Amino acid sequence: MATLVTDNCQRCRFTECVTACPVSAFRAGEEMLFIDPDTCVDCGACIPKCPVQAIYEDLDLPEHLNEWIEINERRSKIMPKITNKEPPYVGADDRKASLGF
Amino acid sequence: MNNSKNHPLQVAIIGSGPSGFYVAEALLNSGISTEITILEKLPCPYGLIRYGVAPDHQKLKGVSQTLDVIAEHPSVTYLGNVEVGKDIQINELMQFYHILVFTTGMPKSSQLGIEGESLIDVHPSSNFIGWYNGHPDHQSLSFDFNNDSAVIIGHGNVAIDICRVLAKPIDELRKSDIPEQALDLLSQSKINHINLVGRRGPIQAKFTTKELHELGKLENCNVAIHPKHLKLGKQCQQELDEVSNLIAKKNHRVFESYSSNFSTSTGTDKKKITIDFMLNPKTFQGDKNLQSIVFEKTRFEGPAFKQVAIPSDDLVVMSSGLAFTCVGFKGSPFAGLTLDNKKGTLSNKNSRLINEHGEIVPGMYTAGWVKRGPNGVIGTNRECAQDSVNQILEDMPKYVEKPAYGNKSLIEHLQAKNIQFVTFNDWKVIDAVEKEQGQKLGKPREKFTSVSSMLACI
Repeated sequence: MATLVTDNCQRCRFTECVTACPVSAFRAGEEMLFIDPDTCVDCGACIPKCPVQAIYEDLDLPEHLNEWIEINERRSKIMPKITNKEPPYVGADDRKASLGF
Repeated sequence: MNNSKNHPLQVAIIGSGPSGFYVAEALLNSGISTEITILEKLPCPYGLIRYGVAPDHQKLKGVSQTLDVIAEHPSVTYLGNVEVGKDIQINELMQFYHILVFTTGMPKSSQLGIEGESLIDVHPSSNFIGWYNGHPDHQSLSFDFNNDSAVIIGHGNVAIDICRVLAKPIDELRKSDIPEQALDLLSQSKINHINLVGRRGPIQAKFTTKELHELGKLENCNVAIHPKHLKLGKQCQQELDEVSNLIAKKNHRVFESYSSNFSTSTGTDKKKITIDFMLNPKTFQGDKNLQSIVFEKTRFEGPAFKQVAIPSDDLVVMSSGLAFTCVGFKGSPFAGLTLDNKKGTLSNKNSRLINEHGEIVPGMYTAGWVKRGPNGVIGTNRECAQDSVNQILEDMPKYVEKPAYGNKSLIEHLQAKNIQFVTFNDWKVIDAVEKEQGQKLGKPREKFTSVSSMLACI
């Protein structure tokens, strides 16, 4: 069981999810966030917070996004913790619209 | 923000569930000078993490490790076994603190308010959940698992947790932290058919997908839904198609897989779990013991996302000797504060408590379930607590002009009244004993199920 951030977060980085995390499992990449699978307790609080539906539980992860399990595992180990909301990535609203949200 | 010219903000948080700890965390992170006391009625902390999260969801119970870090902060003092309203009154606390924050949750179940609800085999969810989680208030209860069927009313995760505890093989449950006494009774259960019944349809069900999915993974169980329930009306289809309605879409896929089980769900040795929709409970029937439950079939009226389930005269009778009602929770009242009877929350305006005249009570705030109602998952309360602390910070300048003495005064007061309070270090002793006892039994911990037994080991 794992909860992970996928490519819709790239260059959106709305960070709405981080305040809802009860265990501070989010890690801040430059263009997107990652979840540290060793910290996350799979409570699912972050999933409905994402305005571009980038967060999945692995049980309903579409197959074409499978690679993101490993990317979250790897990147979360080298990126700093993020526990408070930050301004979105520049141009996030345009990117959100282009994703159909 | 800097209040260094003033006195440290003395805050008492009442209730040590996740919301209480997250209020403390948000205050600490705000950078103000503050001292925080977390008061808890029981000796042990963590609230619903310990007594609400299902005992077979140990990973989720691991949130307690995050709460421990907050408890161990030098500006935080935990005092367990202190009941506000009994051991100490609100007006006494207000002499010691600038601010009180009520994070007392919702310990009681809401009632359906229908005939027969007081029959002995009709159990509010909070009683059963408290019992199998070892809560001291619920250990004298008994449940008749001698029935072959049980009915669970309500379509949220609480209903699924109860269903899973009833359906899961006992050897699996033995690996959880259900107390031995409860395991003994559950091991004799004859229940082989469980009905999960809701007033509305599959699109409106409040289950989260993970919990719904987990039900289908239970060993030796068949989860079934009558395919007719997935033939959606126009408004329900519109709700399902709405791009933001992610949870309905994900749940619908799981429901579809359960509907394909429907034809194969009879004539097997497997336990049967049926999810039933559009049924409104009307009466529980029986003399002393429950015999059957009468439901009214419902139909929807109104536009998408505002559909109301209207009961009809068309009745359905389900035979069962055991029922659980999972239709919401309500908070406990406190003398001098107002409980909103409809919502079950402490009446508040944007986290600030209000009296019966709708006026803000200075210095009193709330967070978590008792502020907003019993919704969301654990993390939702972290956001909620942050919001409450934002309001506190806005009001803070008017409080810190004069000093308050916080836990120093409170501890003197409790000692003078001869009240045995439990510190966080005391709790760690209890915790270690529970874990040690559990280890011998091959489980995460064996909980003490009475206050006296907890106090006896410190």
